[in-house]
Amino acid sequence: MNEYLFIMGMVAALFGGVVAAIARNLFHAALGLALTLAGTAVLFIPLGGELISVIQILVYLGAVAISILFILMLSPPFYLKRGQRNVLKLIVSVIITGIVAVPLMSAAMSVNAVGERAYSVPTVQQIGRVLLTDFVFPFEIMSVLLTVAIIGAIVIARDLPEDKQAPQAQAVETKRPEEVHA
Amino acid sequence: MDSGDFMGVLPELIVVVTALLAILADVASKGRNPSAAQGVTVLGLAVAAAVALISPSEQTMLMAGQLFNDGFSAWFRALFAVAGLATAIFSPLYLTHRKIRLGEYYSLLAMCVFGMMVMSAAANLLLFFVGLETMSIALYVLVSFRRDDAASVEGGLKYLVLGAFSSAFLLYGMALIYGGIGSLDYVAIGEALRQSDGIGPMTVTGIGLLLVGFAFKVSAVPFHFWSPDVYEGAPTTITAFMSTGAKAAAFVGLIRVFGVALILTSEHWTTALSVMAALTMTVGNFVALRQTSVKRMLAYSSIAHAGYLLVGIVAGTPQAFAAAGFYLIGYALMNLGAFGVLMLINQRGKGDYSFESLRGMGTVYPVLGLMMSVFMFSLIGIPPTAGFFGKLYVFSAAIEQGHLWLVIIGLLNSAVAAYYYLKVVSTMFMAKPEGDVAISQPFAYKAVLAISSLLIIVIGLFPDQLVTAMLRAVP
Repeated sequence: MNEYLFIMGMVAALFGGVVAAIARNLFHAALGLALTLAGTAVLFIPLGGELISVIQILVYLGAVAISILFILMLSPPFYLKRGQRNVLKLIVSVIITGIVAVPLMSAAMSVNAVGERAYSVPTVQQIGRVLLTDFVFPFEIMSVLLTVAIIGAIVIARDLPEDKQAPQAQAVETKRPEEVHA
Repeated sequence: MDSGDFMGVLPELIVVVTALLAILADVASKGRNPSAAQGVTVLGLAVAAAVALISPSEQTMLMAGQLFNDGFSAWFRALFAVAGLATAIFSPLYLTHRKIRLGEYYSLLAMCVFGMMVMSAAANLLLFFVGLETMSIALYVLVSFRRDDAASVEGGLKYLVLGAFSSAFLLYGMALIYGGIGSLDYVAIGEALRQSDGIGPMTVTGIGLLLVGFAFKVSAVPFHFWSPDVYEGAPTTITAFMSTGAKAAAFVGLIRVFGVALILTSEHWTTALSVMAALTMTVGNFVALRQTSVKRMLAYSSIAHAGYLLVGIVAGTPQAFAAAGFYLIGYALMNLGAFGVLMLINQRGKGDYSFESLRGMGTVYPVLGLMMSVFMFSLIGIPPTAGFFGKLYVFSAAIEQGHLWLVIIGLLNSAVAAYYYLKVVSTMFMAKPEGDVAISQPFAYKAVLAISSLLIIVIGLFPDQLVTAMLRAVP
């Protein structure tokens, strides 16, 4: 049972990843990404990480993937334009993927993940206790991090003052939409 | 958490409170009085620096082993606060002209300092990462603060995308190291490596990814592509702050992670790191040679200086780390000073930061010219300046460990660098001034420049004190 679940998650994650990488329509790529995230969530279950699996679904599918889709739907439909494939870029990206993939493969092959767990899987209680004892300082620092992110988001999203509705900014938008919205 | 823990993180607490008060001060003055937020920030960071320097005599751990409370963290927490303070003092002259709302600017600046402090004191990879992200997110926003300027927006976007990319490398590396060694704690990692014989492929891959992530953060060649554009697009105040504070914070992290926790695995990364160091010095210098903008020249030269510092990491001894610490402090003083003079001359949007904009300014403003010369001589590494002894200590530590070829490359590069630094000095003194040369010189601004140039000379005359302090402080 566990093995089927693992293989299912693996296939979904791989297929989604390939779609996300090669789809020419950005919206399809976003859906592929969502599938990868869902597949990864499934992978955690046979490994005993039910909590991580649930968090993955809540945070990544429920929040991140949905907001990516919303951003795409609410922005001008630049994603409908399909760029030409560039063979050179394709070759370079395959090579780089290989360079990163080979050591990762060897690292993954060096441990037998299913069945033989190197470390015991912590329970929710244990994670909660550690977060509020040993790791209480990083946990609190996260709130500073979120404050910074909120202040930063406000600064970036706020309208420019009237006299600064600058021509350059407009020019950028018409010239290179994909970079401004990316 | 007892009172010792509380006292230990007092500098961080002061900086966070400062950041929040800066916004409140801006709100209280209804955004009409920009010096309110600035005053709060300068005062808060000055207090934080002073508190940080009351360093503990021996190394202790804070917050259940999450933070080092040692000399190194004391020195660098003070350095980050001082770099933030100098940036805050430089800012009004640059920003007021550009009508930038300032409350959030100063607040994010202080938050950045906070993130750097956490990075320099962190005793485990998780906390280091949280500090790094706090600093980075604040910097992404600060870089794109001139939202009416296409270069600033482009710089911010590039920094965001590549910063997130490199953070992913760091995080993946940390995860694999946790998988391979079983701990995130620096001390525990070091202990586990001492007791094991050899490391598995998982740990090796993790170390490799971690190294790439750090290389991005310190903008080492070939992972430097983001930095010239980001440094050029960012408001110049932020460029000065990034090239000193953010770089120093990443280097302190590099020393703690690679120099202490992972030092027993050095056979796996010394070669990669020394090639990176040689490339970084060379590429940074040779591209800096060709720049016509002094701002961009300083951006590339900061890549070259990262290369010199990497030589110190390659050497891998406590002496070398003390030398790197010495270098980082000296470099912060001279680079902040150089950017300070550059911004003072190009104030109110009258210059374009080109060499032309400096023409003859040394003859019109001799004191300013003299201070710029001190900064440039120190950046070259001419005695008696802090820059000379920084290089001397780093290179001699590398020679002791048998990295002679790296030192030779470093020395050749220093000679190349002399050309473009001296070009600044000669443009300031030899050329005839053109057009409107009137600039305003606020007292606090000049005071910062004067103090940093004096400190560079004093450190250059009495380097022993600082290097002894660094040797005592080194982790």
